[in-house]
Amino acid sequence: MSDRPVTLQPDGLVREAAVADARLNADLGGTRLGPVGALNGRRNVSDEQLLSNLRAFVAPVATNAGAVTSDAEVLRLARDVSAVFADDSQSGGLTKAEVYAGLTARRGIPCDRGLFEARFTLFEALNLVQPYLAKKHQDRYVLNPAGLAGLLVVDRLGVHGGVDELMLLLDRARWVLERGTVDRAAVIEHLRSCRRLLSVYAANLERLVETAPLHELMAEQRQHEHRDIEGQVHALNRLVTDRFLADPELDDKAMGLIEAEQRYRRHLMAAVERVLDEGGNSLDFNVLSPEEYLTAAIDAPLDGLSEVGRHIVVDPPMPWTDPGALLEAIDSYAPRRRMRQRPPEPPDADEPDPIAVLRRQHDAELKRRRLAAENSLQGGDEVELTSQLSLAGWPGAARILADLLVLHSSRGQPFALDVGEMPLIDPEAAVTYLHPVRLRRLDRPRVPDSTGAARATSTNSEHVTYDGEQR
Amino acid sequence: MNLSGMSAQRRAAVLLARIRAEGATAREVASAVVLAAAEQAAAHAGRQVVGCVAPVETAQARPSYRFRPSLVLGWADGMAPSPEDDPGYPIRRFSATQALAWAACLGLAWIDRSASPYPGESFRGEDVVDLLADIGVPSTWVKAALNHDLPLAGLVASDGEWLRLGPAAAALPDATVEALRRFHDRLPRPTGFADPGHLTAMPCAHGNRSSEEDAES
Repeated sequence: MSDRPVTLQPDGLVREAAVADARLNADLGGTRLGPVGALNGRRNVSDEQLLSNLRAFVAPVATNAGAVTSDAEVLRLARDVSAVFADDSQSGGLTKAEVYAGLTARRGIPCDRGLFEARFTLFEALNLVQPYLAKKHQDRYVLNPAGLAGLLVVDRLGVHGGVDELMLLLDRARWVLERGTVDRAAVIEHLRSCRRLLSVYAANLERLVETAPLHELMAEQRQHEHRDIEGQVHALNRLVTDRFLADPELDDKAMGLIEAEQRYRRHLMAAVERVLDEGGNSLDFNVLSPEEYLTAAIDAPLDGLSEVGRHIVVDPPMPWTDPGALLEAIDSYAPRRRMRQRPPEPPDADEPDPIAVLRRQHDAELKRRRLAAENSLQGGDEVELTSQLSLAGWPGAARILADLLVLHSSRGQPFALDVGEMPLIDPEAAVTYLHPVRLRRLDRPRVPDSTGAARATSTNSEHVTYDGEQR
Repeated sequence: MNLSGMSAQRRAAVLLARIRAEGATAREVASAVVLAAAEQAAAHAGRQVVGCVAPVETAQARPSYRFRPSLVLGWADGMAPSPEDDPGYPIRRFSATQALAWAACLGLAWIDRSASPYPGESFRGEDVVDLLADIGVPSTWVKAALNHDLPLAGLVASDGEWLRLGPAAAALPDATVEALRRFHDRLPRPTGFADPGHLTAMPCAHGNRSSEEDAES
């Protein structure tokens, strides 16, 4: 067994008083059955804290550690089911289907059917919902009032974490004393209950001040703020003194209550000091609630307000670059294989294909040059064009020569142009400067010479073929 | 602003305000006394003044936006906010593309895992664009992040055709750097990064030879 010191959770002690007063505070109109964490604008604990409070609350009657759910949705479902029953005005109870329909209508969205069935079965087993008639196979149910009271208690645990019960207990003790009809034993019992609750809260605060992280201490400290517990305890003490003069035992009980309150206040002040010290140094704006900031802005003196931002550094709002988000972004993109894709075929249009037009023009030009060359050859294998060029004049000679040079350099065209080196100069002619030019055909088979060897024929391409192979 | 009649504390406050407004301020604008007072005031607020090299404007008639020794505000040890743990206040985050662009810049600049990411190596914006294009990030978005978002946040600074990590990178909290170091190998880099020669490398990125260059020579 662990020897770690443990402290009693105040919520466990609150349970008895809370159950007793639940009926007095029950709001059968269902206005308090709001969602978890949003009750009537009052400050509530978080869902996690509420469920933690609940675990401490039911610990005295729990059969195992898992007796209380850790799912806040289950609690919401119980609230809504209770509200459906509470809002029902017809006699004879509700069927399970009607409860489900009412639940859906209340939420505006369909409820998880499986969860509803499971919880309804549990509610029936624990008598939160009861058959209208105590017979078998009854399909109409009513809500057990004790269950509704239990939900109201849960609500109160969710508001201020149960500190309200301390105030309620003190109020009730004052009320019975002021009424004057209570007996001495009942007063002793009330004083003892108040002292116990104060002692437990004091011990819990002491533990939190010493060990809890700041945010947890701030959450607890907020539950205790704006409470005149000191005034309540002293008023109760005066009533006891006035009502029971010279009663040492009651005096002793009342004094014990004051001592418990002083201890509670001392630890509460320690909690406040730690929150202000650490919270102030860390510039944590959660130290105060938004309402307190608003109140301070309206009511605080100017000098005090001017101190608020004395050591506050305000930066421009830059994007927050946390490593987790960076890693998430990296994980969201995976390397991809880049595949080139052919662009889609353009739709048929009236516009001519410019490439095809150029190709046709090129073919036509080549054909014209070839016909011109064939015309110059006049069916022969070669022809001397020097005189023809000389007669063509200028720029006709240049145009003929350019066409022949194109044919000479074109692959697949069976023409060759031999340009001699000797310059022919005639100052009087249209073409004053000319070299001898001879055009030859390359693709026509030559007549075998006297040696009987076949002479090679060729085109302007690099490929050389022989007559026999071509056939 | 005429600061001649101000006390050192007040000049320090002005210096801190200037750093906050500009993102990075030239080191030469503050005397040693004022800088010490500013460091003290910043420490009181959970901040610290961090030195870096950043493109800052100076009062002298020199070419503007030259990289000069500068000052930037960082968080004191353990005082950096942690919005991940406390979602009680809204913060602006980078989009996935901006975060990836920043990760790629960090990956290209921060080669030696054991070293501090700042100042790192210079890199080209084209390398970032190509790197992220390989994993499917549109290049226009990456260019927008490189040209606008990251420089505005001070994470990247332009040095002509080259990019460097900016002053905000110098002021990254230690916890953030340590977290980044844990997945240093997952930062986007071209395949085969072990050979730094495959990248377009600036001949002398910061005036100092890198460890890789030293190893090669």
